[in-house]
Amino acid sequence: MNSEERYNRWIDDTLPDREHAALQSALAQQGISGTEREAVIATGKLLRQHVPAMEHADPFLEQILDRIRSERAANVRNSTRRPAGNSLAWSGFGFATLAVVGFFLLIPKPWTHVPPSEVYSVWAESDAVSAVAVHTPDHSAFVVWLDGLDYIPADHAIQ
Amino acid sequence: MGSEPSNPENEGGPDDRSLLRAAQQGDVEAFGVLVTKYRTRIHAVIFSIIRNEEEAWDLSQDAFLRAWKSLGSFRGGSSFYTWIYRIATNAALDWLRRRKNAPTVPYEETVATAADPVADAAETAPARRLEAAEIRNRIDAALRDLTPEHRAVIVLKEIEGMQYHEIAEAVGCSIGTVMSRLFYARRRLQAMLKDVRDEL
Repeated sequence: MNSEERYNRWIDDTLPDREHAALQSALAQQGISGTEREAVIATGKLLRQHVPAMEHADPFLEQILDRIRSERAANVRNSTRRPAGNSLAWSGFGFATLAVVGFFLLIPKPWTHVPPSEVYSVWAESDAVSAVAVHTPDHSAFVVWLDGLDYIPADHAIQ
Repeated sequence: MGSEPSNPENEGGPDDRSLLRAAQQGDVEAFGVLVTKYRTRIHAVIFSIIRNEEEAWDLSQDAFLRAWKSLGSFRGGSSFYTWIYRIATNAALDWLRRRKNAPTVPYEETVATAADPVADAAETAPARRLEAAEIRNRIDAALRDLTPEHRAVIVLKEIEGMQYHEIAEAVGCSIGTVMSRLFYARRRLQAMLKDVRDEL
């Protein structure tokens, strides 16, 4: 126990008997008189006696409860508004994403360059009918394009 | 000290734990009971630290509102009693720091060097009983002479009658620091208010 704790416990009358000798020497060293204890106790009493009574105690409580209730109501209002606000934000985000994706789809993409279709042969049997054979690498397919033939209905019986 | 105020938790009525539990579940009325139970004491502590009645009222309100908002984080490691005192003490100390009206020289350094206000006051005080307002003014002056931290400790001890470990918890320091601050604050106050006591 240091001298400060010893002093405080002496004032509080909670100092163990075995500490009294050390207390007396500490008091003498610091020039503290034996009447100090009564003086400190009287000072404490003076402080307690001159604390002003709390004024407007009832409005104090009502005001706190009102503030709590109004804050709570404001929180409820905010939480009910939040989905609308959120959906607006999400819509904006969605539109922005679509715009970005669309932009990248529309611009030429050199890193995904597909070689153009290659025409293998073109021939014409007459002035009216011609044929073109084309290879499309992106679909890995050959297309034969005939132009100028007469219309044949789908239900035409092949003879 | 025999005349120490009792811990409000020991007083009658619903116990703090059940009120606190109800308040944590959103029961405003239960929190209102806690406010009613502690409002005068919290106001007294805040007033005694900041020495301003009007501000003490507002700061007490803020302390309770802060407690309400923090109810969810209160885990019951300490009692509601020490928790609310801690919030109130911090509110008062923060206010003082914002106002910067605290002494700039650490109290321990002023003890040996400051002029003796007791002797000055004893010479000038007329031989008559002091009025309550005058006593209040003298107490105000004596407390203002302490740093906010010393003031908080002596207020919690002498006005609220708290135990050392409760003060340490409320102020957020060690019991050793409480002992040290209390030692200097008690010595200083009893010296500064000697003539006031003598005239009562």
